[in-house]
Amino acid sequence: MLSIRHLNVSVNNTEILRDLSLDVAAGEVHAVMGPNGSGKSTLAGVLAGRDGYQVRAQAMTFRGHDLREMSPEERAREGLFLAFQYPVDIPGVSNIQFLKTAYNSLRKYRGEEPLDAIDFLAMVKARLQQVNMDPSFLERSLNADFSGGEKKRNEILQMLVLQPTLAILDETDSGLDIDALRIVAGGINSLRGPDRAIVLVTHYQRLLDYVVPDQVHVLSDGRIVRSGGPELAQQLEQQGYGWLANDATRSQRPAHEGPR
Amino acid sequence: MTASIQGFERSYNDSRSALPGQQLAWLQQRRDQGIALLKAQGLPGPKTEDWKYTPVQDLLQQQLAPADAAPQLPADIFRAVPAAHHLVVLVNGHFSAELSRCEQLPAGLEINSLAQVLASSPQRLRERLGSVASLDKQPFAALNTGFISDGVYLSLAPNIRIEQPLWLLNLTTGDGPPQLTQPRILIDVGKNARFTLMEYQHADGSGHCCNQLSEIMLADGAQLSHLHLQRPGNCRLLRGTHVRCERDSHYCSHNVDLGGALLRNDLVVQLTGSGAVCELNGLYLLGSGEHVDNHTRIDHLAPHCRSREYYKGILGGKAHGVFNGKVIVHPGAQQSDAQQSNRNLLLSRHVEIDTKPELEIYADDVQCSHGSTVSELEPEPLFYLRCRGIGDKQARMMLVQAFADEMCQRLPLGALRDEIEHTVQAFLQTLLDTFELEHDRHDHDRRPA
Repeated sequence: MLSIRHLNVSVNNTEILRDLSLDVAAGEVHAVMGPNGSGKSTLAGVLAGRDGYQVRAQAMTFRGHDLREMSPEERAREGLFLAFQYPVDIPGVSNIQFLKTAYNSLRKYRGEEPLDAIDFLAMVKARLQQVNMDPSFLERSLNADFSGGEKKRNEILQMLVLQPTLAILDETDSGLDIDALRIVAGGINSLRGPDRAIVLVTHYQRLLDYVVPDQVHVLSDGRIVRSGGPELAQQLEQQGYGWLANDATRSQRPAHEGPR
Repeated sequence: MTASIQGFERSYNDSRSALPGQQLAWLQQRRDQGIALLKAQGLPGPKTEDWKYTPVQDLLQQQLAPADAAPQLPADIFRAVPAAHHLVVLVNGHFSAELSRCEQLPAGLEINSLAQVLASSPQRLRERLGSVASLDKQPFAALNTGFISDGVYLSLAPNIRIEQPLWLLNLTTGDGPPQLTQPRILIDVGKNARFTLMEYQHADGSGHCCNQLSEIMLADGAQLSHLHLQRPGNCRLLRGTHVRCERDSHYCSHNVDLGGALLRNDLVVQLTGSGAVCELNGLYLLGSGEHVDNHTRIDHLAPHCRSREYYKGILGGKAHGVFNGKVIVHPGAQQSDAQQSNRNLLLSRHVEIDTKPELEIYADDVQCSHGSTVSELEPEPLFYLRCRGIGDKQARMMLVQAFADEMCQRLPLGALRDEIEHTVQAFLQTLLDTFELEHDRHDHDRRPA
């Protein structure tokens, strides 16, 4: 579903991601973990089509399409979804207006008729229950005056409404209390299925207690330094990221540079 | 007449003895004073501080014909006015009895042609007409005063509350050569009376100039919700609105400007009685080649008054917007509470915006704040919307509308708000479509041959 080969990303000529390769197949859940500044959010941003990156890669495809040639909206319409680490507040755009416009943009792309207001509302209300949000959320301005937890749940609500094929969740777990974490995890688990894939970008292991990944990748200094099963996350939780530092320094210096 | 001091003066001398109410000494005196003040201060040039961003030289070099009394009216112009609402129509400065709908007015509300009142009961105007508008540094108000002839006189008796909005439609129109129209509006709201006025300025034809002057008096405890929507098209609209608020009265203005070759609003509010409140809300939307200038002035003349001013502008193409908001807290106006803000959203790099909030305080126990911002659409919200599958163009439209929405939210609920929201939305859509075209052309130009 998602295939990244030898991805290098710089911002203002500073290299953030180096030689990163990652394959995510349908039905899989991958966790990308790493300390602050390791490039996790850059990876999420590059996949969603954020501006301002210099991207070089041998390949970066999503369902066979070259992501580099697609605008953010084209990626979304093909089924890629990014849950933002810091959801943007937009006063003056109501949540319901936003959700409906987004939802119908996807339908239009698939050649389907837009859903009318009544059917749409019925569908959204069912999703709202899933994330334990009050219907009054819908009339409020998008993310404006939302608490941190409400914003994160709102991202999950959007994901459930839009039903993406590939969901990338950028630190959706950070800043959540345990109840909110369970709600968010429940939403993510409900999306799991043989035709979908999920990439969890996270700093902590605790979300992975609720959403058990198939694979865990550890990102350090812009490279994937380890990949393994869920047990790798456990190990990180117990030992922190420090023990990987040596691996990272070793692998980040290209061979031709020689020893310093 | 030539639009110059000499031209106006000559025209005044020629017509003075034929103007309505010419037998009234007080009126002639006021007119003479208008012309004298116009002569004394001259017409605005590039060095006139209050006019330096709004050039009127083009306007002042041309021949302006007298107002066309019976022009062809634009079709569909009354579409927006609900049939049940009372309506005052001015056509090229003259009260139109046949187009107005002023039958069966609620008790206490009187609406008449100004010319008619000058003829039938001028004593009612003597203390009022010219009592609010200051002609100092207001050359066009002075000009209007020199030629006072027709318009509307509206009065509401004390303690009367009218729920249904009253419409005032001012049409500047005609296929002929550019003309000068000078409607004069006088609104007198009695103690504790309250009503809503929906003023709609529509101009068509080309090159006409409408120089309107309104005076509004709010007696103790009176309330006026004044919505005004301007659509000057290819004409020039100079609009002076001078308001006097007495004790505990409340003036709430919602000013919506939809482009125009030249639109200048001078909104002057005097808070003369303790506890008076004014709220001035404004939204101006400008496309390429359009010029809108909002000059406001609020005088806190008594203690415990409150003023709120929020103006927002959206400008695209080669538009030129001007905002100048002056708040003056006079000596003795203690406990004044004034807030002012002006925010501008630019949709193109070729826009010019001149914004200047001004605060002058001559009292020591006051709460005042002011500020202005100028910005483009921010990339992060745009990216957020696009990440959900919303196309770039639609996402921009949503954000631009959201920017305007704050002003629409301040409008009183009801049919008027729906109508204005609808009009604003349609105008924004056109604005963005035009902008899109320019954008595409620009991209095209950049492409190597």
